[in-house]
Amino acid sequence: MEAAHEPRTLILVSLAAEPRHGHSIMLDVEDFSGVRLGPGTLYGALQRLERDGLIEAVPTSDRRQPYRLTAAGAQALIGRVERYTAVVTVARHRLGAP
Amino acid sequence: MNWALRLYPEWWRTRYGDEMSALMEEVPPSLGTVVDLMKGAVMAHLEAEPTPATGIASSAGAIALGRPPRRIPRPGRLAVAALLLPALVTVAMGALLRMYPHLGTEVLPGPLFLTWSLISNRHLVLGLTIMGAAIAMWRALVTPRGGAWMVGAVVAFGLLVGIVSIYLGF
Repeated sequence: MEAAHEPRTLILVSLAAEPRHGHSIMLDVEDFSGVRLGPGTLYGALQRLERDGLIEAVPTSDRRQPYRLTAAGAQALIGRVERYTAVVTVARHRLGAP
Repeated sequence: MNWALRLYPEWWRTRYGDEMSALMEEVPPSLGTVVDLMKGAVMAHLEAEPTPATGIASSAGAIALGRPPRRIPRPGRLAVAALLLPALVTVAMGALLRMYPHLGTEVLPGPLFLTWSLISNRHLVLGLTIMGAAIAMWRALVTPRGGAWMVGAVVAFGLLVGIVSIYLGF
């Protein structure tokens, strides 16, 4: 199972709401997770997500290229969220937390 | 920091160069960013060049490449990585020791200190030479008409053999 703070997972979460370009993804990820993605890490992850068909470039004339989730990307994110949720549910139960 | 983009392979710069350049205009320069870009460049060189059939199929970048796809053999990638990564560690440790000579005696305990103390200027030269040989070999493998890189690889391996011979006292 991929770690929740793994760059590709964080990028999928960031793009779940709306298309974003690289800098916007960096700021959003840092805002909701506290993880600061460097440009090399960010674009390495974007390239692999694009290669695997989980995100796609949105046509633009701007140098700042926005990306959006594909249907396969949304499905992959749902799968990851379900796996994390199952782990969190067990942890809460064992800790006696509500 | 746009100089760091030159460390990336050509197909990567064709596809992502403009947007990475735009991004770096908005990110304050720092040592961490430079290290992150260098790490990204190494990973990009180990990544197979995408083809219309295998990846980034719909991107303008892949179409703009305008040359036939080139398959990169996985054993070749692993061989270069096996050569490159220890060389990078050797070079990094050698460079750090030159900048902070006290680190070797004050910070690193036990086995780590033993490793550290073995690193010298000669190791730095050897590490750089292995790294150069690995990069030249890799580029000769993946670059169409990579004759110049092949010459570089032969020269680098010649240097490597010479340095190792000096080490061994031949």
